[in-house]
Amino acid sequence: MMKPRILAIRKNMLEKNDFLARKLRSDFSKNRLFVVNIVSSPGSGKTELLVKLIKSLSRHKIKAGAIVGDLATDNDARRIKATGARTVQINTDGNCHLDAEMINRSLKKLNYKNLDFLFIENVGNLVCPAGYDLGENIRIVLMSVTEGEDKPSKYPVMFNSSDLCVISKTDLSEVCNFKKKLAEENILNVAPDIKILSISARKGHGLNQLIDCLISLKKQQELK
Amino acid sequence: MHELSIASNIIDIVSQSINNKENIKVDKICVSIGKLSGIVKESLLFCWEIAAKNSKLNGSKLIVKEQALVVYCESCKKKTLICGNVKLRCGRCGEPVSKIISGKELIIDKIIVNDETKDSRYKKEHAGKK
Repeated sequence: MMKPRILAIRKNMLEKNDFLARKLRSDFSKNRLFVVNIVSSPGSGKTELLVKLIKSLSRHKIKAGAIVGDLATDNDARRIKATGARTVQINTDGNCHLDAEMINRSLKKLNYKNLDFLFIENVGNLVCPAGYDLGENIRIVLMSVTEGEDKPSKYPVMFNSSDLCVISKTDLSEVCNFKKKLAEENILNVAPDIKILSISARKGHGLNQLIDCLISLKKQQELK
Repeated sequence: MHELSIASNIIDIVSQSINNKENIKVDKICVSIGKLSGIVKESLLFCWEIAAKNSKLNGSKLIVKEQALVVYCESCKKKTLICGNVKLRCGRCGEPVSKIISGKELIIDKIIVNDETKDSRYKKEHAGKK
């Protein structure tokens, strides 16, 4: 008679992605490239922040490139390209997140030699991108004041997986009746170690703190 | 939302672990998903049906174990089970804790297979003895 056997597997479902992500991270570090994965819900200001950030960095003679993920269109890549930064658009054709393989493929189209920073603008989605390591050094989650204070409580996985939280569009705080203290409390409830910054990309508020933070994290990374 | 990609990852890993052998039938696949893994059990089971249908694992049952969210407080040396809304605090001192010891799993634990090759060899050997 047929005898069932038990085979132990003990494997991570994302092992293929994680393996490639580790390889990418090691390649990036050999090239002294600091990679930032930017995640948020759609419309929280990722592209606007990147445009302003890349412009400011270039004034400091710091070179940055970008990989932009969207389901469709190259609107965001065109906005970032206008800053003069090397930019590649990934269209996921309906896929809800970027994965390490998509980054690996897009790197063939992006000359990242002698860049200091590479920003990956993930697909606007506060759920799926959380699980996918792209080989980044840090993950920044954006949360705009227009979204309300309880996004972290509703999407704990994303905030917990991030290193830095940027509260964006702070120039709209007053009209949105945004309660900053409550938002920070909610963020720290799900991610006790996360660093929080407040930024208005449109007005330029808080950009310098973000730049200082990125530069110091890059230095720390190079010392490792 | 990305449960379909996860389901097809499970199919790839399981197929590889049985070396894509046609004569091995996988009855059950036991997996663990953590509360903070971003994967929803019901969606995974739903996507499993679709993904497995067109693969060698058609008919294999996916058994999903949900892992609770547990944090560890270094100063109290105490584990805390986090129920309901995610609020990572130590149950004893109430301080925020970031060390998660369970709840992020996305693991294929084991599979239960029926090996038809072994089975037919067994039948042959025993048929000779009769």
